[in-house]
Amino acid sequence: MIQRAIHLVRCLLVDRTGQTLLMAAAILGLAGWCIDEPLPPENDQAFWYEKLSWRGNADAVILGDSRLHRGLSPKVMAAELPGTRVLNFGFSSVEYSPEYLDAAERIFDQRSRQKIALLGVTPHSLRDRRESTNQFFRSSETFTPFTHQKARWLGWVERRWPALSRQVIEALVRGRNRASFKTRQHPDGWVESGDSQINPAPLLAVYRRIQQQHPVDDRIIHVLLSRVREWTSQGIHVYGFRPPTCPEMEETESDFSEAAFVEAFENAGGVWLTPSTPGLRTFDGSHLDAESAMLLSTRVAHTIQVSQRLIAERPTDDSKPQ
Amino acid sequence: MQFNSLEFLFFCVVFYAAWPLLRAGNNCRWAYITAASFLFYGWWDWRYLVLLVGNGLVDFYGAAAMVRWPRWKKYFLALSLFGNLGSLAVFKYLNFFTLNTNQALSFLGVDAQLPLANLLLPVGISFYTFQSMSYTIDVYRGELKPTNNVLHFFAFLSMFPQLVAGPIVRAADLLPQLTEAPPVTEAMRWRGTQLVVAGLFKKMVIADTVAIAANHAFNADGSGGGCLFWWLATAAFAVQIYCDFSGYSDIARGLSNWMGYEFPVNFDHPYAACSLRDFWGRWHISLSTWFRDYVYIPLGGSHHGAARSHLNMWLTMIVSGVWHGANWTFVAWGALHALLLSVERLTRWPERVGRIPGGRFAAWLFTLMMVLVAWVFFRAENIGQALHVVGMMFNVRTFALSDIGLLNDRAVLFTLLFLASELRFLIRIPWPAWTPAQFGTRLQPAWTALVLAACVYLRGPGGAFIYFQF
Repeated sequence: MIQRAIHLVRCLLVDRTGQTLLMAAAILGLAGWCIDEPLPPENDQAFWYEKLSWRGNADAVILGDSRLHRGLSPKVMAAELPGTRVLNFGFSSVEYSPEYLDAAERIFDQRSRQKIALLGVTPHSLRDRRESTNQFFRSSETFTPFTHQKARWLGWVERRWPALSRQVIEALVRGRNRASFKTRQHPDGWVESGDSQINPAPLLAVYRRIQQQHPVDDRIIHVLLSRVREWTSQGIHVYGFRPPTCPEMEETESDFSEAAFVEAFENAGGVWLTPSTPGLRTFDGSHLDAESAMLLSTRVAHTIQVSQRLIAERPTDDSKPQ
Repeated sequence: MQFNSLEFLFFCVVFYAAWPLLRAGNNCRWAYITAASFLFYGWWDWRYLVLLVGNGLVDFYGAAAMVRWPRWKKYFLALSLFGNLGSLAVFKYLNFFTLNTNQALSFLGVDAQLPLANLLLPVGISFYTFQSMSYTIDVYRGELKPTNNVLHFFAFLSMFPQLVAGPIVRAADLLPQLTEAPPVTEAMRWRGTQLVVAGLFKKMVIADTVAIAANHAFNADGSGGGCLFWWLATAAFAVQIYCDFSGYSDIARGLSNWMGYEFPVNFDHPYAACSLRDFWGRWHISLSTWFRDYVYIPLGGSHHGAARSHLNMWLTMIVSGVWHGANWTFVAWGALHALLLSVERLTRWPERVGRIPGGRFAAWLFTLMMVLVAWVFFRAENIGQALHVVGMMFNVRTFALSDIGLLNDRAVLFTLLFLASELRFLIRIPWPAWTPAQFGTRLQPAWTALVLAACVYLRGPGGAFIYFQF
């Protein structure tokens, strides 16, 4: 047996294909040893597939783009809303398409007595971009039970051996600030992000270009408002708010008339929230850092709680004095 | 199963580990190749296998019947062509036909709409139907003796390295090879390894990286930038489709080398071509020669005068365009190449330009520009977008260097580096002594290992091979 093994090793050493494979394995092993980046990759596909696999397991669902999936922690919100199971169904660059809203609807537990849909309305989620950066569409296209399991397994490997992660290597090759890459994906859908500041200029330039090329689309607003109407008629409490960001970013969103949208949103049966924003800061010019996200989660949950109480205390038609 | 996937890596390890044990007996070898290939193909969707097996059986028994009843062989050939072209027509072109019919009806004011069929488009259907047709046509012509073993036939038709995206290996080339199990020498294995690694690098590193720029430009409703932006975006697509497709062919050839077989060369530096005719002698050679032998020559080729020769060439190029997909953009792509080839034949400009000093370089540059303009039609979502893009490419007033910044910087860099490296084949400069291509035998495995590691570390965002859709 040992002689056979020695013979096999000898053959491998003589054979150029064997030499290549051994050397490639050595390079990969060496890189794995040298690159000890303890970061899970930001775009770990398993995380997004996990969100797509949610079915009937929440009382409250958070919807929106990256400002939402980075900006609200379901765990913190659940602490403020006792007995409520909250999940963050935010996806990067998502727009309020019928497919996205259908998928969010499937997450509600049908037996839940108090269903809440919390919509983070950013102007960018109302633009018809159809871009490959839309994480929801990109993931939905390839989502199957097999790809889900495969991504889970690959994510496990990459977390243990970051040298195999394309995102980690790209960040290192490009010399980006390692700390800026730090994210932590939570099972409830929150992406805890940014423990240090990075230059917001490149991101602002991208958003300016997006605003020029893709104005806020009335059709998407119509789809969203129709769904708000439908959900409220089904007894789902629909809340909306505009996720806070930095003033420079808000300048790139000047094509969005918030007042007109809020009026239409409330006419459709939704409740518009205005959580206080002092003390919140972005780490990249768009998204809130982890500390601010937790603070915002508390404030949003508290505002919902107050609103729920007001609704509960509101006299019903039957109890109105005749 | 994609060549650049983990599933395929496991598949390969198992297949090649058992290959030495199972390749000895003919039936055992053919059954093994067929079973593995069915697993490889059915991994996408097991229903695809129904069509592959159905078409294969029609052609296998059709060819056998041609030999058994030669008087009726014309009808058996018709049956085979009907089966192959019919399945292509239904699965690939039916909805295209329906949509166009509906448009024509509404144009004529008829208030009736034909329903669209909800059919799966089997991966690589155009490749294996053409391969299968070459078998029956060659048997009909008496150029090939049909096999009487169905496993032998299916080992040829479904052989996994080339099943879904070529090269289209003719029955006359592959069937005789499969009757033997040649020993896999170290040299052959090494050649296979080099081809597989080169193919993976082309696909995973170059094609997937430059695709970022091409997809960004063509998916963003054509509003992008100016002249420079669109030339760069189209060049990025040209590099993407070449590296994607030739990468696949390289991997397929390498995998067949590991089994002891040889597939023909499918690409020969097409972007170093100095005329359109030269380009078609270097691009997707197995398909070009297929169309030459089974469409152009049966139509009469160039034997019935210049006008008929042009007509035959136009028909062949348009059929080639349609083969690529059910969209008017592909028809326009084929027709544009036919037009440019006709002009080239009539004026003989490449030879004339080539005679003047620096003319060869000018001919190369002009050829490359024409190929790029034609690629716009191939890549565009519709004719409207293609015309807009071509208009922008020639609108020099929109030229702005800052447009480079609108595209992914790494994609632009890879595009320009790749085209520059192709120029090396035109001016025939040998690699300098210090470059990896000149390394001695001992250093070559180290270089190949580095390239393989680069496939892991420098890989682009990934995606399916483009030619699967055809």
